Amino acid sequence: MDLTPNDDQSAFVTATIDWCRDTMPLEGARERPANLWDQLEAMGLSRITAPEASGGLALDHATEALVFAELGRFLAPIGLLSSAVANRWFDEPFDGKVALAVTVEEPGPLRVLDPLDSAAVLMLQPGSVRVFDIPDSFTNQRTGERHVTEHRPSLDPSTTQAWQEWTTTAVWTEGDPRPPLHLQLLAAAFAVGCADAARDMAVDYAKVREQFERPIGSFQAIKHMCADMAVRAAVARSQLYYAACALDAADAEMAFHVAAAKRLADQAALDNGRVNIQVHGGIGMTDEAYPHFCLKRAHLLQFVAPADPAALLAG
Amino acid sequence: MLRTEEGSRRHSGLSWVICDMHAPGIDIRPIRKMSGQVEFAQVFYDDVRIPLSNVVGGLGNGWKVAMSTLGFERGTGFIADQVKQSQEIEDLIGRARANGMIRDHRIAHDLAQMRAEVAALRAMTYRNISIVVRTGQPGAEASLIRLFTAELGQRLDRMAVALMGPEMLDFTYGEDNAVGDYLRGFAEHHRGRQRADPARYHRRAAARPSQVAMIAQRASRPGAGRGPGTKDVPWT
Repeated sequence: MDLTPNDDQSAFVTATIDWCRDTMPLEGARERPANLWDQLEAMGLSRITAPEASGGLALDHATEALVFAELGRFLAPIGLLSSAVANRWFDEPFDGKVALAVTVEEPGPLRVLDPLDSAAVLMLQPGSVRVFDIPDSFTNQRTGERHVTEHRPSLDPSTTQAWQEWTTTAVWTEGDPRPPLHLQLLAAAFAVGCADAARDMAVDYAKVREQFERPIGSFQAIKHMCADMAVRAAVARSQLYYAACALDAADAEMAFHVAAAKRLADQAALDNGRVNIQVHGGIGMTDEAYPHFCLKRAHLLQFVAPADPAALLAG
Repeated sequence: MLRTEEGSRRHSGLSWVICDMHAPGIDIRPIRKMSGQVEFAQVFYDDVRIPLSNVVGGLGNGWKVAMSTLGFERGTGFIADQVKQSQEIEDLIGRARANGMIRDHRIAHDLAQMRAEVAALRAMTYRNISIVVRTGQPGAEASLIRLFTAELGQRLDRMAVALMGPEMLDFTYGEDNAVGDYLRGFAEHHRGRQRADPARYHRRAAARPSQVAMIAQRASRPGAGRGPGTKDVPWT
């Protein structure tokens, strides 16, 4: 197993970073351009691993995980996770975005993340993923009336949510352990990017913010915090790439490795999110500064395909 | 607290004043926290005049005054927070029992640890009060209490959101619930850290001679004050 990205992967990652910097900077996470989803689709980012037959790039999970880690760094729309999974595992292509439901028990409402203009809703269930036929808006055939779902804010300022009723109209995967692992892997990639973003923001700030006539990064109390952030991000990223390769190889231990990646990525994103706020001092806890974006996204990702201790302790 | 003696360094030449926040020249710009609440502000002092009679403890004694007030603030001023924390831990244990999450060993362990810490915090505070009774002023331990309270508060807040589940996602700006407390807790922690290190806190506060300081200094000279044609020193 080669655990260094190849030239094609590196090129894809670099192109993604450049594109994100121009089109989808983290600072703009609160309000994204109206046509952002169309642009993401046009870039093929929701179909990296989807088969060519349904318009996908048919690349491997390793490449996709690397690209998603960069997308996660810019707090890309949550709908990319569910759309990528839906496009990869269902033969019928979905016409547009597939929003992501946070798994809850019936009869609680389906908490649907990133519902804007979505065509359907994907939900993780034990051993498979289910896609509900719940569009964000539709026209009542009889009355000709247009129904648009109500969108509510969520903890994460970059993500809206809608509460939907459960419906029986759905398709789901059967007999393949990989689709739910795919969702968990991509959510882990987003969390790795989130941890990276917090680390970089903290380090950049520590270099420019001065106290006692020197950058605060020269003080060991700050330096150690930044080093710990770098360690957590590196640990999580290594496991992410390893897990992606395991999923590509349909390795017997892929479930363990993907769960490990998700757990470490979630922890890194949360811890780095908190420390980033601390490093920023007084400005760190204000709404106008950006550190809270990373922390809030980290909390949201915790609820997406969480790593079950049972998956980590099995065997 | 401000610098009232030109050229003075570190702890000397500082004075502690009471300022009427409605005085002309004060510009208060509210700052929104990441929880949505507006609980602090940027304050600009532009040609603000403070009468000499508002100096507390005499000119040049600012450091001493600040140390006494902060000692009390740290030692006993946060007793209300501590009472709240002791109620909070009981509430969290009750909630974890009710929703069954107490069966999770990690949660049970954390709750047990925090209940012990809340008890220790009370013991520390009682001890500090004993010191005040004996010596007339709070000991340096007051700073430890402050830091411990702030960090314990943060962990209690984290536990409260951990017990919420996905409902945490429904938080909206300014909402007064466990998520709001958790997000506001970052400010508390920061403040706690600063206060726990008085040298750091006060050096920062006194780092720049302010306009107010300059005016107070002028006011301290015999015959000084705003007369016809007198121009105040600009904000630096």
